[in-house]
Amino acid sequence: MADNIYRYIQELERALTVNEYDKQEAINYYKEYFSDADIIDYDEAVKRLGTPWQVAAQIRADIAMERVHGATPPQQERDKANAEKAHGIQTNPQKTQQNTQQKHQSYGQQAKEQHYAQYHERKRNAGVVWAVVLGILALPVGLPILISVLAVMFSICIVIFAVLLSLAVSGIAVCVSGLAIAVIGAIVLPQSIATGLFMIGSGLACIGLGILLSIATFYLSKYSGKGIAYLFNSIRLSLKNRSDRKRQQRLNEELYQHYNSESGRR
Amino acid sequence: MVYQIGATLLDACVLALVEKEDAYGYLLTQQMSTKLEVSESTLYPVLRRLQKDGFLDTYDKPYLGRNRRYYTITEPGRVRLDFFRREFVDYTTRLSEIIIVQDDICETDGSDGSVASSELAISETDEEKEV
Repeated sequence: MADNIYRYIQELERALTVNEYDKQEAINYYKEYFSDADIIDYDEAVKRLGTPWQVAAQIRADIAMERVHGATPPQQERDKANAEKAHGIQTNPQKTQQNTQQKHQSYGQQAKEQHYAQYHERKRNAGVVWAVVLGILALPVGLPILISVLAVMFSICIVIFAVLLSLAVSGIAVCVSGLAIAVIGAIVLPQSIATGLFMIGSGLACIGLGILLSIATFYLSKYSGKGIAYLFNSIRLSLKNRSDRKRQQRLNEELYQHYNSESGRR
Repeated sequence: MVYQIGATLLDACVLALVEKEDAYGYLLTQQMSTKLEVSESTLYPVLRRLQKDGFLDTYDKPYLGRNRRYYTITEPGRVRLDFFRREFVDYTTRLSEIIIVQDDICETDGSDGSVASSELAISETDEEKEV
């Protein structure tokens, strides 16, 4: 039963194609929300909040708006201007007071933004440092493996290419030799009709065979090209999926513990 | 309810609710939905924006073995709410002058009435842009 709401959160996480910080904040909010609202069912969540994609779209739209506006100051400025227009001319002391308040406000916002930026910076730096350390430690084992994997991939490509090339060359060779035989047959024809006809006939047959071989090679190369692309793509995808799965597993465990503790209390 | 609530009005509502007492997401949504028809997923973007702009602050409080995130209003948030309140009174006054007591404008205010209504039209389009 409770599995259903994990699915909702998983789908929400997948649909939230925003930076990691905003994503985590949103996921945390909705995890908390579902606990508070006692929503444990996927369908119930959809009924009350909308689909995960709708929820994610709202958040994405909000973040996108920020990027368009720059930050919010332009809007505040506009609001202020509107306010002054609406209230007519204000007395000076009030105005200066409002100005200082506005200033204070923008300072607060600046600090906030700095905080966000620092958070991201720190997180990114930590990630880079870890990657470098792990990379150096894994080098003695990882490098040979990486090289051998690359070599195997390279050799597969070379083998396929060589086979295709030999097929193409033999196709052309058969064509050319067929043509030569037919020409010789035509030359021989006045001396011996039987030999001439035989040679012309087999020469034409060779040309036909060569053309067939060439066509077959053409299609073969097309499909093997696609095949190689598919192979590499699937390797890439499986690597990516594994890391995705790991992250989801972590999320699942967290949620599971959370719900266990919740239901244990009830 | 046939009237749409824009982003600015939602901001004002949330700030007003949080000013009364610190609250967490679900509680705020409940408080809103007792009065207005809002989807339960409406409030998160609003809270996020207000927090990002420094009008709201958050703190976590343990509850049943987990954390609950409470939202609290900041000093800039109070200023903002103050501004929203003044604007709201102005806005509703103008709106009701048109919708509820339309005759009054034409008869008593005369030319002033037309100016007021044109200004209202401008602020309304602004409102729509923000939404």
